[in-house]
Amino acid sequence: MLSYILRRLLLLPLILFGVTFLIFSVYSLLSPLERLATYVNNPNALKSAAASERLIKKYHLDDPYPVGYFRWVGKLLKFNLGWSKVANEPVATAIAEKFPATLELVLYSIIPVVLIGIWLGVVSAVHHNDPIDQSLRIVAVIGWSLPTFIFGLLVLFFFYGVLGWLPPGRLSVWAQNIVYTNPSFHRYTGLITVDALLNGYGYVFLDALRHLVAPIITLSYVSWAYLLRIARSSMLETLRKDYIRTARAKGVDERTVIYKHAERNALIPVVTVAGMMIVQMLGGVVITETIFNFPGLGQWAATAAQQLDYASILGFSLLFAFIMVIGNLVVDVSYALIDPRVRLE
Amino acid sequence: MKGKWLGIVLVAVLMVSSVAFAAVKNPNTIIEVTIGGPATMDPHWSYDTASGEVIYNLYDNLINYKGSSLKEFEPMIATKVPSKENGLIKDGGLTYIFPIRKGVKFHNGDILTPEDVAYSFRRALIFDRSGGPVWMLCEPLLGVDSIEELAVKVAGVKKYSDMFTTDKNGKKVLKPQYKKAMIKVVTDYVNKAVEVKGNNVVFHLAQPYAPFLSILAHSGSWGSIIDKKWAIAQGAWDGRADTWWKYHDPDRAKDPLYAKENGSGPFILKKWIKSQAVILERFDDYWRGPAKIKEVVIKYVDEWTTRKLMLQKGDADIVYVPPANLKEVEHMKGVRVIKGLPGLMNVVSMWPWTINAKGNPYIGSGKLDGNGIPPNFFSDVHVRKAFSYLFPYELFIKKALNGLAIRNPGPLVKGLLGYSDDPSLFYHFSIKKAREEFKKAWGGKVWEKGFKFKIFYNSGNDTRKMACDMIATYAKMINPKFKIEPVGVQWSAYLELYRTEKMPIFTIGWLADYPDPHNFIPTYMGSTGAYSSNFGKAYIEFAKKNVDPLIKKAIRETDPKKRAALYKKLVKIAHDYAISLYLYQNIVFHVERTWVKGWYYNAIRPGQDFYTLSK
Amino acid sequence: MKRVIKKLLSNTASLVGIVLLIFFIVIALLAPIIAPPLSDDPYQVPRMSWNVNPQPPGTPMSDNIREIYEQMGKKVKLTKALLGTEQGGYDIFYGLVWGTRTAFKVGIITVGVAMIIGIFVGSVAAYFGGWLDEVLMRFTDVFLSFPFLVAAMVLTTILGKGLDKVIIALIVFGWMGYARVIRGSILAVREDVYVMAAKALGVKDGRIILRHLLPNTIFPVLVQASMDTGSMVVTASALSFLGVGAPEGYADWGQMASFARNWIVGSPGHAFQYWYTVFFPALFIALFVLAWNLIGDTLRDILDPRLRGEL
Repeated sequence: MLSYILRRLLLLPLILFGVTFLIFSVYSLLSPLERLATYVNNPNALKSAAASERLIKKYHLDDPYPVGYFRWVGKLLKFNLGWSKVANEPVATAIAEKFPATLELVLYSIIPVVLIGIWLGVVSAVHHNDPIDQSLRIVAVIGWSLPTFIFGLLVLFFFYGVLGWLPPGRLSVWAQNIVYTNPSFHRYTGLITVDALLNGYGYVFLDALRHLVAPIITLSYVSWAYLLRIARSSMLETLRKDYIRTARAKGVDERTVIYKHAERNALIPVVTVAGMMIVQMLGGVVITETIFNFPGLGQWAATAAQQLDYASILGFSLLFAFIMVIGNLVVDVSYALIDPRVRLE
Repeated sequence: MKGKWLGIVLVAVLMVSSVAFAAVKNPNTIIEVTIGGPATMDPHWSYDTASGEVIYNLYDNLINYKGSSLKEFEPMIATKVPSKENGLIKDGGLTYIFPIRKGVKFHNGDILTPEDVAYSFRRALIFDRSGGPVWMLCEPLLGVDSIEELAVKVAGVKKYSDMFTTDKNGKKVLKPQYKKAMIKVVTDYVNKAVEVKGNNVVFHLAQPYAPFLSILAHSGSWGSIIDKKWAIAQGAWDGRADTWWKYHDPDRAKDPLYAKENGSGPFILKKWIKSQAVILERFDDYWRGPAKIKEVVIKYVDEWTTRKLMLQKGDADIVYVPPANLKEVEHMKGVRVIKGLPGLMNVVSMWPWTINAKGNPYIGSGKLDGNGIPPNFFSDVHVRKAFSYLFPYELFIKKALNGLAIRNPGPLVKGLLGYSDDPSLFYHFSIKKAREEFKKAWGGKVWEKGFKFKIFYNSGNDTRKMACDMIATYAKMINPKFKIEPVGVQWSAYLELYRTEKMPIFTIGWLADYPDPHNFIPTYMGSTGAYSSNFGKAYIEFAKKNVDPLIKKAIRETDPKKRAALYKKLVKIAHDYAISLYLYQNIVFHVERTWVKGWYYNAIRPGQDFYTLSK
Repeated sequence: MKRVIKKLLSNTASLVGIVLLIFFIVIALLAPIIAPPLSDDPYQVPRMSWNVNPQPPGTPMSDNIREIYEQMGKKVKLTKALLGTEQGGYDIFYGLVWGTRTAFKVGIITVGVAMIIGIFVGSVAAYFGGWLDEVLMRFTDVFLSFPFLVAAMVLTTILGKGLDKVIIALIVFGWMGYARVIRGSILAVREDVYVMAAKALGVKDGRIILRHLLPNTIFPVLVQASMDTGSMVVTASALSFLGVGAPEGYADWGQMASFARNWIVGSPGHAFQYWYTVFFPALFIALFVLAWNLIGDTLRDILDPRLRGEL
């Protein structure tokens, strides 16, 4: 087990290296003038060829491929991730600020995803081919057929525009004031709900929670719809197993059969899928954060990609690669721990 | 059981907080919601509207515009506005004298002195970050585009970078033989351009420069007055002539003033939550008296639907509304829309007289054979005139902009000196005349063979796409052999394409840096203009002969009437030679909740002046 | 094969999917007749007027656009915007019809090519094992480490606007799933007797893979592919929403839906004023994906040996 973990961890630097190489290769598809566009919004800044030259030289935009690449990697090795143009601060600071926001969103989303997905999946399997099953399947399939941005905009429209209950953003103005400017508010974790409780500001906690509801609804729909399916097929498979047949023959009541015997075993593969989905969600928050103006990694990544802010792109790509590798490792290891039949190669 | 109670409490809280008081929301705070986000708090770095808006409210300049006027000034940090009449403009416009107000406080309590004023401008000059706004000070004060140009002249080298070597840490080090020359740059030029004389600050210009006061006025962040003592304490230039190059054009991360401020303006920067919001707090010791509102929050939300809902709910007091969506807010309850405000920006379609043909797939065959255009296609005035006649200006303004624009005869916008509504300066939409011009073009070959090429717009900009589509559609209507294809490209590709002069027609806009014709005419017509320098060799020669001399004359002319006449002449040249297709000038509007009081319009101001606002 | 088709037709869910798919295929095939093109590029959605605001269904052409088209030598058959217009006067009906072709193009080409690449990489890695397997799988891991949507965004921003660039970006970041699936399947059967026999007989590796291994292991990949066809269209629409992807005015459902984003909430009092800008493109996207998902879902149940008795 330990050697397996170590072997997987050794992959991490390799993958990170691969990521930088891939991104830089894509970056070098652009000419120096095109790369300049990231630094220039006002055409006046390029009054003359000399002005463009100055900017190109200042940011080393015309270095040949190997020189540029090593300059990049050299900075990375000194933990200098560069400057994020779209966030107006160093990339490392941007990550430190935005990662907790996305994490908060994803962590809270896990609860409805797992609970609803698994619960409905089990229900669907138990009522296999019944109208309940069919309708749940349709709801689920709609879930991952409907584009997230349309669903998100409709949620925003309904819960904010019509009802006024769930405004966009992360905090109301008064709460934002407290969190960011009040010296007695210590940001221990970066998760505002947690920090608010730790600092004793109950109303800030509720305000933050209120702003999380709509994004969570949007973000989780796709996920629990998918999980429903996995849970359903896994449950169906388990219900066909011999030991279930035996239990039924022995006269155990149906409820106990389902919830005590079948569900537990059926959930094993579901747990691993859920784990993978959490990791995936961290990359899938882009649209949700954009619509609800939630200041997390997704919104930052989308803006950076649109404006070709390479430092930012590299920053979150490395972060995401890191999460993927570690996350997948954790999932695989837990799978092996939960299910004794699984052997890690 | 517990869960149930928590649920009830939650719902209760949600409902109570959403039963928003029909009365004013957030009575002590003005909330503006707009797009983008500031890049910096350093007045000498800032060259974008979002940064400009925040800096406008944190810092003061020497003079301010009077209310909504673009031509009249009033004193600010200076106690008098210099003019020929009061003797504070001397030597034929080469000397400007500003008496400095006493008792003005900076946010940290320091008292403002003339030393601070002189330091502010000297620091600007040596700071001069590439791609920044300081060229506007370099031109009048030093007669060059950037301080590097001056250093190169004084040191007698070819390039600025020739004077430096890189040490093993990657830092640039000045070669010792150039130290003397570099010191001279400050002692003999910078320090002489701006100096303290008693209680006055005196500017010595390198040439008479008519728009100088506009450049210094409040709205231009580069003219902000910063606190010398504080700036030096933060790590900005120490004011010495033998260190200035170390503080010149730093990386943004290394700019000590990028996230801090210590201005003398009506608001203090309480918190800048990067790319999300800016929180300002009233400065109670402001020399004009404290502001009416205690707090200002500027929120940055790119999604229009979200901004609209915030306005509707009263969670936002002032909101940026894209012109296409104006109709949706016009009849919103509790919302006030003020229309008809002329904006200092225009959009123009331009055609290089010589297109760069090297590796250029946009001109088709490169010949006048019906499958392309030759690189000098637009050098024939009949071609240019034909396009000027075929564009349906009024239809475009009515449809694409919902009528929120007016036409300009040339690159000048209404509201600036020298603007003229003279109908003879406009091309009127006429398919007949366009047809005639096309038939005359290139000795009739254009009509006979036809042409094919691509035109460009910045993708995402539907208005410009519509303009391109109209050009293509109406051209095709006149003669089916005229095949034009509009293409949308990302800003990065667009930038490269127009700088390498490969686009047959490119459409782009310009927002004024300061309200003077000198900011528009050279840009669109001069041989070294930001746009017109990309019109190719044939145009540059034309401009050097016919345009540049007039521009030079106009900048030095101190009599406004004579200046106006010169600019009108230039606009006539733009018309007669059909230099570009002048599409429109924006008519701006302002959207706010009805409980907001005290707003006034000034076309050159970036964003809002929160000092006068209240609820 | 016959059994599979019979089962697909008898199950309600997949039957619905098949009917929907046929509906879309018919529209795609009959596009030039239902919505005759009015410009040189049939994928350019014609404008019904120059109006920036969307117009409701049934609005006739205005602003002399009809005369302009006729002067250009085009015959105008559709003089009314049957389902309304988008911002800028683009005809929604036309966009939906030709967008069907676009959807099929995007879905099938992307999935097809990605599948081929994935199968190649995965089967080679699984069959030869050893260091080749390690290298190929690490290579796959690097690509998997990118958040799909963002990676596609970056690539399309660089390559420029246009559907072909979107397809390239989706392929570049979409083949990894197939590689992993086929690798897993082949690893399971690599040591089977018939493979050993073929090797002993001296059959070339390529043939073994193509003729023996793949036919037995390809089904999970096909199931995945059928569902991805739909979801690729959703991803392409997400890319349009985020500002990269098909250019404005192109007949692509995602592009049309993204146009709608500023009009989802109408004026106060007429909240659903511009419902048609959202409703129709969203409906088509959802139904298209639904069709593929229903078919793929049932296909999975059919091909799952463990559920054989139940269906």
